[in-house]
Amino acid sequence: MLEATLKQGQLLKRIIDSIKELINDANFDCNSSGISLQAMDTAHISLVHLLLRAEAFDPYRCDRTLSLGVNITNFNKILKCASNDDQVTLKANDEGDSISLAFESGKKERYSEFEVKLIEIEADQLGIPDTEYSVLVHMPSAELKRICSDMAILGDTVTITATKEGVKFSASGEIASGSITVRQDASADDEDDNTLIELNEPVSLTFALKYLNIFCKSASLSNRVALSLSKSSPLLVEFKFQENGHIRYYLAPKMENEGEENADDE
Amino acid sequence: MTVNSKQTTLNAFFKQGQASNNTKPTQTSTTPIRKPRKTKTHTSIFTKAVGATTLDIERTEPTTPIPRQSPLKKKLTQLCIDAGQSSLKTITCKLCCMVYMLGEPEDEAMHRKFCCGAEKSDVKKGKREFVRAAQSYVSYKGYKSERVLRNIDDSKVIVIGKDDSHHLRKKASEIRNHIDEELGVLSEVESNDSLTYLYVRDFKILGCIVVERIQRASRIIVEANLTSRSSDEDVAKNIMYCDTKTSEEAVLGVSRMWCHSQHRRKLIVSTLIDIARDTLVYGYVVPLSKVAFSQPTMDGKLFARKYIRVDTFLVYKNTL
Repeated sequence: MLEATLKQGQLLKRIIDSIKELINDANFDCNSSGISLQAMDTAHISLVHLLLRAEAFDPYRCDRTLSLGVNITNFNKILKCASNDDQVTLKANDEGDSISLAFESGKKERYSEFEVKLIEIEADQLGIPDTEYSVLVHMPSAELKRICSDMAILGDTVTITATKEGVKFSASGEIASGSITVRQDASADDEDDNTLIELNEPVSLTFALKYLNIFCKSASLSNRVALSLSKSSPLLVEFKFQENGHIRYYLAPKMENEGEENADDE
Repeated sequence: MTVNSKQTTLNAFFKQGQASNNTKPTQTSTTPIRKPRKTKTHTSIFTKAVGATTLDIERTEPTTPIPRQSPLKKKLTQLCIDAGQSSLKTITCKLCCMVYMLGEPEDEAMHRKFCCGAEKSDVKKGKREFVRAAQSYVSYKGYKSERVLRNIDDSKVIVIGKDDSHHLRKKASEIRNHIDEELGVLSEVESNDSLTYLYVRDFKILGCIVVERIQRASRIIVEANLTSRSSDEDVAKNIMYCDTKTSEEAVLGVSRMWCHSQHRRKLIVSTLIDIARDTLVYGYVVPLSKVAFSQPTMDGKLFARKYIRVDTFLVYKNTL
């Protein structure tokens, strides 16, 4: 039996809205410590790991482990029926075949209830190995979002190069090429605006912007984003929401087949 | 402004005559510095591509970066995440039993080609639905000289032997090849003494057995842990042994038995073997204990057990 109430329903709305483009179906794994979701896109290029700790909900009750398989697109449609300031309550029975969603408006003048049919999804719980990353970048999420959308104008891939000088996002395409470099900056008044770079080893990796731009939809969930890069491991993009959980995206890089003799950077 | 001025300077190198008019008013103190730099990089490429992009071609900017960009794009290959997910491993098609990798375009194309060419993936709905539009049937239009052994409702059972007409024998070998492909048997040997029994309905062959007269067959040794109550799965998985040194007398050897995948469990093959037992030897019904099978598949093993109604059955070395 699961019963979880989220005071700010928009959190769930935004989460689902930001992952809906990546995954079609996913299992919400609920246990006493919280709700988690792990899914991969159909091409196996990216992986989403969502964690909502029990503390994010008030109240939260989950007696035994439940796996709730939902179609994200349909789930998103239902969640669209909730206003941003609605309180969202999720309920599911141990043996039930549906999850019930209840939205209560802030002034309690409106109460809506929905039941979403669950689906059986054969998904295996993947163990994500803890990786020592060479580069760790903490930056404002809006900044990353802007960089990615700017780079998308230029081309469909972005090369992220982290050196002592800073982290350079560069892209080139038919119309132009360009780069944006972010540097360490801890001087901003608001801590959220700081850019912190921890560099152990210079790294240069190329990624598909299509995926990064989908990840950046989660920028509305958190002011800060952490990028972790390491050679020969996927990029980790992490958005934390107020210590109550996180959404992590893993993205496989694009690799070059041949040498770099033709690549010219301007 | 700066972007504009850049573009005009870029254009300048495509059509120098025209550009000089355009650039003059916009030229600022900074452009002369940029200009020589650009000339170096762009002219070098420009001269390379000069054959294709002559000066007469319209002033379209994309012409220059294309030779530059395309080799770069080709080099990049998207990797995928391997966290041990089962969907990344090979899957076995339920229809054609082909083992292939999901998500690997080459494999999927090959499988689509193999799986009767009828697997349709519904990409729009985001689902991979395996729809078998048209099952491949071997057609049987009927021949004048065919020997109909029995009519069962709207179906008929036909036997084709070595004395039958060329057309019938051709049909028999056609279905044989079809079966061999599905069973995964490789046989090039053309056998003469075999009889092919066909189960035909609506001009389509639904089931087929190929039988022959044999003298001796060996009884399989069933593992001790198998009882008559063992589930089908256990039986199918259990490895069979047989002792070829000891043999028993046998009469009917079932070399191939096959039924169309959509018509299984409808006693089609049982009917065919029943008829074969009646008709193989004139005036003599071959008892169940004298029916032997060639090396059976997993499904064949289950069938043989059910048909013979004893845990063990006879197998013989298939010569066909």
